Amino acid sequence: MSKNQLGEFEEIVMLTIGVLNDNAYGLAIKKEIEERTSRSVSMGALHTALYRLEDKGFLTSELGEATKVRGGKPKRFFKVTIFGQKNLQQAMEDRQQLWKDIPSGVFELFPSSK
Amino acid sequence: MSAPPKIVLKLLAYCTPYSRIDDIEGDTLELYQERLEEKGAAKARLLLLTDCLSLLKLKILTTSKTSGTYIMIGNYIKTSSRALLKNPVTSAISIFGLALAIGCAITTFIFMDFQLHLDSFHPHVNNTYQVVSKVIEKDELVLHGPSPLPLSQSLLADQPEVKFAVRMQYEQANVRFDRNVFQERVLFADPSFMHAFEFPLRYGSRSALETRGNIMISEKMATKYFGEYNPMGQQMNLQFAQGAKQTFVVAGVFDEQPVNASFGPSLLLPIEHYFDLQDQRENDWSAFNSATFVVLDESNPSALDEILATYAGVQNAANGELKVDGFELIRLPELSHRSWEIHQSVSHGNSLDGVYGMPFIGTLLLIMACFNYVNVAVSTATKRLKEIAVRKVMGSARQGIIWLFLVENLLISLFSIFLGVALCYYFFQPGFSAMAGIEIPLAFSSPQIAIYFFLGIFLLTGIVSGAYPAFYISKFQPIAIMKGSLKFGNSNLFSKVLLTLQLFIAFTSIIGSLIFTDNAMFVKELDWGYDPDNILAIKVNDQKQYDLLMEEALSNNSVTAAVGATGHIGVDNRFTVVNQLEDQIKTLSYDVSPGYLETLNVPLLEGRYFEENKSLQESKSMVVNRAFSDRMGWDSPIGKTLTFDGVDRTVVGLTDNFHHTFFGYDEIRPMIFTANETPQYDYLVLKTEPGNTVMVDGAMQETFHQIAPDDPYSKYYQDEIFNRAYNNVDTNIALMVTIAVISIILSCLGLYGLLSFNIQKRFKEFGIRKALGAEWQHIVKTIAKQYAPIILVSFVIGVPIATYFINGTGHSMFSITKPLNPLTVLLALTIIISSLGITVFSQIYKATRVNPSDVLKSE
Repeated sequence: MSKNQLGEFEEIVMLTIGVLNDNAYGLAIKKEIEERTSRSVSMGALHTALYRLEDKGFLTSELGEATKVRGGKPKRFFKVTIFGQKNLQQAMEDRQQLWKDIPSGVFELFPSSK
Repeated sequence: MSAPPKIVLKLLAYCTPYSRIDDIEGDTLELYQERLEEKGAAKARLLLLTDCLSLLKLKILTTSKTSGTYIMIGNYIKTSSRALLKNPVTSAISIFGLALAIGCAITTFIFMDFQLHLDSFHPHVNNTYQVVSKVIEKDELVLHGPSPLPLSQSLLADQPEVKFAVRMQYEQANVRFDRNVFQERVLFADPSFMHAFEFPLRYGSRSALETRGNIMISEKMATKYFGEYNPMGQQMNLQFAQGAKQTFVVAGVFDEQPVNASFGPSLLLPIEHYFDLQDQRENDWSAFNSATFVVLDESNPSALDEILATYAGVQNAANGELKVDGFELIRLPELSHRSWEIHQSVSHGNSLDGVYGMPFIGTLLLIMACFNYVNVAVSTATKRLKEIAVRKVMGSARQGIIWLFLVENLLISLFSIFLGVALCYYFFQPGFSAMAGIEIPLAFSSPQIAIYFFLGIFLLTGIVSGAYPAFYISKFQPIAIMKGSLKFGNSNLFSKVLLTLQLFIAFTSIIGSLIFTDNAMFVKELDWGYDPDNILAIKVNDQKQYDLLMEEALSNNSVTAAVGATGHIGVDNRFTVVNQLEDQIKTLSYDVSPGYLETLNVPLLEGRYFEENKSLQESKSMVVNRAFSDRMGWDSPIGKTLTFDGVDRTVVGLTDNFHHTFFGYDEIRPMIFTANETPQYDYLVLKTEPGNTVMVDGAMQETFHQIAPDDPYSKYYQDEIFNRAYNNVDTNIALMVTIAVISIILSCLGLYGLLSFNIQKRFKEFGIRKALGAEWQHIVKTIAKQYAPIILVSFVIGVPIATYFINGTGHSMFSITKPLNPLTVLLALTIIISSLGITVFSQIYKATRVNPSDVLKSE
């Protein structure tokens, strides 16, 4: 199932879209990620990720209203599809399983994680 | 709210994939507006650009699935580099030839760029003007650098547009510090000189000129007089030509003068000291100073027209020797190019003809190299005809084929540019700087110019030279190619015309440079008309110095003759005007002691030289040269009388003509030699035993320093006085020879590339010919038949044109020219034929060595 494997950045993008709910368009996603993860996201990287995710069927999008500040161009709002949500869940479960299987005491910083 | 520049928007539109264009553009613009408020316009634009570039990846990702453009360009690059590698010799020839020409083009362009941006380091360069005087001389308008003394102060007072007005005056002075005494050119200037012109300072302040008694010196002068010591605060003694002596304190030292300065100060003094010397003629409109510069605010110089016209009237009313007809403002950036037409210009530079001449030659070489390349490209393309047919059959549009060739050409020109820059850096630039005698930095005046230049070269070589093969070959029908009914390559008229043109340029430049060199050599070996060997001339300042030095000279065993002269042949030529009835004859005159003419071995045609110990008789005699007697229309000059210098004199001797200046610079002038009873000699002329001139020079210098510690010791070796001119001639020879060599290399490379290709293609034919019994002579004949007419035609056209052209320009360079030597033409012919012959025969040899079984058995 390697085609459905999520990249780390892709996962963050999808989760952020979830967080933003109805306001998940390009620039808002970019700012949200930059704020939450304190990393800088280039326009190209974000839109490439969005394009790929949509291509894979994890996202859907529709055009919104146009505003003057955007030079009369509409916003494109993104939503995570059920298929995408399943994949996110899968990814989360995979990780949780990994966390669980770490023998206690191996991670000194988290002695009690189990 | 401001929109980003249109071009960036276009770029953005280009960078975003079509399906997403609206919303991504929207996002980016929204971001841009935010940044505009936070970070300012400049930063926002820059970031917008990086956004565009970051989006490119997405564009490639989305479009590569739908269009083949990107894949095909990759394919073109791949097939192009394969094609280049397949014919390494021809590719190397193309690249090397182009690189050679590009190297030359860069060097010549930098030379032009440098010359056009002289003085550009001054901050007010575009608003600085020299006010030159227009004077009518013999019904002709002439520009004079010097302008009336009160001009600048009047302008400053009357016109608010004038920000600074600078008076400049050059004078000669003997400058002394400790034991170092030299004659120097000093510059008096207003304090505003330091603000109008920003010559970089090393020590001291820009206001140093405001204080009397201060002197500012150049870095060169600092080393010359003070060596390693810090000159600041030191005292220098100056003695001016007017006789006044004064001590100055060093208050400023300039940094090294910028290389692109067309003029600059070496010793700079406050202008008040000049007025002291001139008895306060500050407000005298009939007095002139060397140059007046004004710096205007942004306004147009025509604002000064009216006031300058009234100044001309005031000047004329002052009734001076020189009446000014008007004034002209010459902008500082143009000053150096016009210096040749301004009498006594303070700035020096090349005329625009010279500035544009070099890039013209560079372009010519570049065109030659492009021709080469077109030729080679057309013939290599013949090998790829099948590939083109297959591409077309597979659905490639004509555009695709055009792109294929253009990509290949751009690749080649890119390589050539890199190699050309390297050639320029390691060979042409240092060589040219050495030849020109000035250090021209390998840099453009601004980055924009560099970008335009390299882009221009890239497009010129890549597209212009690649366009013909690209557009021509892409037209072919696949069916014609496949059937083999397409006749192309061997009998291509176009490439023959190009080759002819190229050889024509080569012939022209080689013949031209040979004629030029021949003329220059001829000039170098011309007889001066007298014997300059072992002659030492020493400048003296008064009778006492002359007498003491003479005494010393006579006691020196190595001195075979010691004579005196006022003015000295070749070193100090003074013109006077002889009035003969209505006629005015511009004449050189020298007042000499008896024995002077014998010492210099000036050949006597008739009569006698001056005799010793008959000063009364000889003061009423004169010796003239043939040019003078011809000018006077005398058949037998001996015994003729003439009033000269207030005395009636009888001609007692006639000398042959000889050269007082370098051959090219002036014609032979009428000359008069006199021997006055009470002479005031300013040159002591010594003839020494062969080889002892330097020793005598040393002894005389020692004595001179003892008797005249305040005066500089100036000496001239007579046989070296034309050395500078000879150096100029040598430089020109070197330049011409370089151009000729490069053009011959280029044409040989072109011929070689074309031949090697065409002959290789006919290997099979040669194989069959040989198999059927052809001798090698026969094969040579077959090939020669193809190329001999081209060489012949270009020679027949090239030689007369080159001869005509060079003969025309030769007269302007040398006043004496040599008639065209048939030997020159023969030599040029030999050089070209032999170098082309070697090229051709190396290939023909290969063809004759063809083994039929090798070339016929394989496909």
